[in-house]
Amino acid sequence: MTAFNEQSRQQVCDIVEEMKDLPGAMLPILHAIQDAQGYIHADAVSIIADGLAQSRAEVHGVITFYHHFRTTPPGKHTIQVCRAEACQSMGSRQLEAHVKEKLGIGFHQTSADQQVSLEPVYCLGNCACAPSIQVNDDVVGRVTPSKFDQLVDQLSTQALEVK
Amino acid sequence: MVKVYIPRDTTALAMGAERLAAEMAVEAKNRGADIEIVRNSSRGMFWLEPLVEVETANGRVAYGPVEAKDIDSLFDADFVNGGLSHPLCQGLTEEIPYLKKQQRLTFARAGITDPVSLEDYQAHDGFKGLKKHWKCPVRPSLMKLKTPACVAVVVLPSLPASSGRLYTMRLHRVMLRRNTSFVTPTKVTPVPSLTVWSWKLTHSC
Ligand code: FES
Ligand code: FES
Repeated sequence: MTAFNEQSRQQVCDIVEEMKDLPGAMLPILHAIQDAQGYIHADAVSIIADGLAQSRAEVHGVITFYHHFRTTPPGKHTIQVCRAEACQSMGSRQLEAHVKEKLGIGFHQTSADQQVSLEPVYCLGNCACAPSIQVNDDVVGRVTPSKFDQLVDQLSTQALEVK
Repeated sequence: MVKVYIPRDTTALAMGAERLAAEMAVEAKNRGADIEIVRNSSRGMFWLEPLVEVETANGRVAYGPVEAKDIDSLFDADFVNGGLSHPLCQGLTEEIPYLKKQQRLTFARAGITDPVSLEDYQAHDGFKGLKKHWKCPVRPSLMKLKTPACVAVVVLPSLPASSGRLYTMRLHRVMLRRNTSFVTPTKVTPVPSLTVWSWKLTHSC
């Protein structure tokens, strides 16, 4: 796990300070932290709890209730596979099996090279063109195993170009 | 300048509209075609996304589903002038049976307007209700308005009608990308104050 250094601590404090007076501040704060740091470190919990005058248990409860929030660093890319009704009716279970085999990991896992994290998701709002997946910030529709392979290959090509 | 519409809603994007728009702009330049690409919202015919529409004298002509690999053949088939010979051509958009047999009310302008153009919004009856409201002697203290995704109208009811001022602000680009459908109800809650203009915007769906 990457260290929760002074800089990340400060960033969490700043976010909490800035947003704590919003009505229903907990979720916006959690989103902001995850957007900035990729996950919510265990040490951030007490900062959030103090800022909102709530117990750590309450913060922990919210974080663990929503699958969107993660408590470990994600891989370089996050792939979400839709498991909701429309996608299932269009073959997402077979796609899911293919995805797991191709990446060699299951849901909530990150590949050994830290490149890809795999997460389930329940409806991406793209039912009409199911099955859907989301690759980082982009929703992709009518995904077939071969289309998926292409997408993953593109991800790794990009990663190589960066170096 | 010919207007070419390429949607930017979730499904169109999921079917490759972003790459399509970028590559079409490049190809248009290469061929010296004078087109303006407008990123509208979807007409709701998702099986045809990305649905490319071209403005012609007879109305918009539709092509779909268009992929980046079809760009060359579209130009060859003179789609810029509404050429009907391309295999993906669906004819006049308004004549597509699925659309034609619908009576649209809240979605009447979905896919028609340019969501980031205030002029276009006004050309399609935008602000009519607001103008009417403004003339009305008794104004409610809180307004909930349906506005295009890019523009929120904030009325500060605490001010006397004579100061008659409208505040418009452009929403964050991220929101624009996420939802270009003008029918997204945007709840605008002004916080009345004579010194500070503050307001709260929430997409309520
Ligand atoms: S069920 Fe998968 S996008 Fe809606
Ligand atoms: S229920 Fe999935 S997009 Fe509407």
